[in-house]
Amino acid sequence: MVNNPEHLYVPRLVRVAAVVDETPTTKTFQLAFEDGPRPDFKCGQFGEFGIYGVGEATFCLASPPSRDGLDITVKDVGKVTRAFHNLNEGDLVTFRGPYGNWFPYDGFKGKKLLFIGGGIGQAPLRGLLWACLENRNDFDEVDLIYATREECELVYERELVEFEGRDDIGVTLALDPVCPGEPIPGWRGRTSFVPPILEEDRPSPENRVVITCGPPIMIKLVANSLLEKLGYAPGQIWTTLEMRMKCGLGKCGRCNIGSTYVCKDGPVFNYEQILSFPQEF
Amino acid sequence: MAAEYYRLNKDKVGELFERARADYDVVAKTRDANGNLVYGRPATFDDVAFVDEQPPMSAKAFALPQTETLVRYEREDEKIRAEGPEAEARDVLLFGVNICDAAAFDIIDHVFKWDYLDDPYLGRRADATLFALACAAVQQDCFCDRISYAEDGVDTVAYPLEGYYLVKVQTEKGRKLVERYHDLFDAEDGDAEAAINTFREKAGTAKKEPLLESARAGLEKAFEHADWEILASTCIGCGICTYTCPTCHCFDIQDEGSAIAGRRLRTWDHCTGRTFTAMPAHQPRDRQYKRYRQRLLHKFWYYPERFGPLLCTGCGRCITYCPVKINIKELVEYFGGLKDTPPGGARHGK
Ligand SMILES: Cc1cc2nc3c(=O)[nH]c(=O)nc-3n(C[C@H](O)[C@H](O)[C@H](O)COP(=O)(O)OP(=O)(O)OC[C@H]3O[C@@H](n4cnc5c(N)ncnc54)[C@H](O)[C@@H]3O)c2cc1C
Ligand code: SF4
Ligand code: SF4
Ligand code: FES
Repeated sequence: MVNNPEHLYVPRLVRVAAVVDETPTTKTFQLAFEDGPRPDFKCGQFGEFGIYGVGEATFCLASPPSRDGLDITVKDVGKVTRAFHNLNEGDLVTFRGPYGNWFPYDGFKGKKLLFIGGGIGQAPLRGLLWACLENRNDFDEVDLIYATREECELVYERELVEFEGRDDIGVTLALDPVCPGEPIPGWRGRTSFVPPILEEDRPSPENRVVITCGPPIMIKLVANSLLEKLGYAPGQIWTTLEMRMKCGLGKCGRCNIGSTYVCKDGPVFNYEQILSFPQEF
Repeated sequence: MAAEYYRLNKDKVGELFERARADYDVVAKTRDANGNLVYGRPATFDDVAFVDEQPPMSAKAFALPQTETLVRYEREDEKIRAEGPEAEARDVLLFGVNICDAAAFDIIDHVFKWDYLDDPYLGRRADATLFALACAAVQQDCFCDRISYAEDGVDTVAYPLEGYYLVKVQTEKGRKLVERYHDLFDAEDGDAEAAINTFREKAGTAKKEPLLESARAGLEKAFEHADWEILASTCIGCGICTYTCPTCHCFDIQDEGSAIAGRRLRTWDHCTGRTFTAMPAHQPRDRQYKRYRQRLLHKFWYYPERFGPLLCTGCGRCITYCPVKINIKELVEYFGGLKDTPPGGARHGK
């Protein structure tokens, strides 16, 4: 008998230490490990989180590893995520992970970083963004473009306000235009999709990497704009992909694009890799 | 280990079965109450169908059950107790299993043992001994003659020759089986491989060119082929092909029970299903032909690219039982460039 002392699918229990309302449909959960030390993880990794009796779902680890515990930001879209939204402080949830690969943090050192987030796609960027700000001297310019459909959909609003007050990070907030170009009353940011912002501001490709996450259509349009209009090379763009996952560890066969297991070989990919995939996106 | 060869007299098979039942949890083909051939646990050799006829369901459930418990949990006051699956009590012997079913285990071992070790699957797999029975004639839709899958992971293979079974022992587990009941086996001193080759030629199971492995180069260029939509959109996504397949291994994870007590389980799942990859904001396989394309390309391109062997043993069940008569072998030949004309010409209006 191959006896694994630790069964692969038996999760750990973690406690909800705090719940933060982010938007009408999104909450952040601060989780604490009480049954032993929190596992080491790297920015970009994810976990399988669950509630016994309901099931498991995949969320990215949304806080920097330097902080205690672990944050996840959950959008209410279905069965498991709805149950998460009904959690209170002190409740127990299940955790398997950390799984997947991570952003090449060391490879980013000395470079200009441009983060581009869309909607809930800001969650996988948040840990890395904070890790970079904690070691700000390791990097050249750091900028963030963050776009959502409506103002109420901005997650981490309090942190965005903090960033806006700092002089070591450039922040551009944008809302989807209802009527392009027309300002939205009371809105402090821009009213535009991301590609026109890039094409207007023209951040030069020189020594810069772009780290983007959001809806697939946004990633595609942002990449096209960077590659075709601003002269970026595919290797300068990094993103995390979302495919439906169950096991998170390369067994259940759900997350593949060609022979790539997004849960094992990803979720972080360089755009050069993405262009080599069968066009399933 | 180097292969060893033995003779097993045909009238000794029953005794082998009965004696093995004392040492193993013996699984063999038998008829259920409706007369259907199934892998089951017949109590006596009289109920065993020691024949090459292929049951509709493959033998994979003995390593990957259709449903199995991954975690059992129970809440008591503020505490939750959770434990993994219990180890099975006895070693399984798959007695008289078809070679295409037996060879499948070696193929799917790759996915369950790369990187993370899947302890529920690998535990059962390590405890299972395969005693395969070679087919004396090809079955209705099978095409194992067109796939060069390795049989050397099959512990023992019995070839039905005139008057006796020629038993080829290929692994330590197989040797242990023969040693346990050594008085039933005689040494084979003839040219066993020559006898096996002659047998296979006659049975129609000798390998035939072009092997489907050679379709790979063509398939790698065929992802965007316009005919997927014509040839694969008749698929209704029922999943029969996957459930009967000895190599399909995809699964879902679900909870059953309440917040107080229950289990987290895994169940078979299939890529041709509409919800397999559906996400809140995005569905990469939004048309049925894309889901069928995943099935075919996973078996004949992605899996071999990743792990080596084709994810197929040519058992032909997916052809036999598909309600809309989709023929994977013909589609591989067509999209892989081994044949110029699409299958089912008239039916598909081409
Ligand atoms: C690597 C990775 C990281 C992720 N990180 C995060 C994160 O940080 N935060 C976050 O909120 N989410 C994240 N997600 C997404 C998250 O995993 C899913 O939203 C979550 O699993 C949904 O689970 P559920 O049980 O609530 O939804 P389910 O009830 O399973 O349904 C989810 C949605 O799928 C669709 N769906 C279900 N059934 C069907 C059907 N039959 N036909 C068509 N569509 C259907 C529906 O739109 C439904 O709303 C991530 C996903 C991945 C892969
Ligand atoms: S063909 Fe489909 S169901 Fe079968 S193993 Fe491949 S992805 Fe899974
Ligand atoms: S190929 Fe046939 S058996 Fe398989 S899911 Fe489609 S219709 Fe069902
Ligand atoms: S999520 Fe199961 S294989 Fe990737």
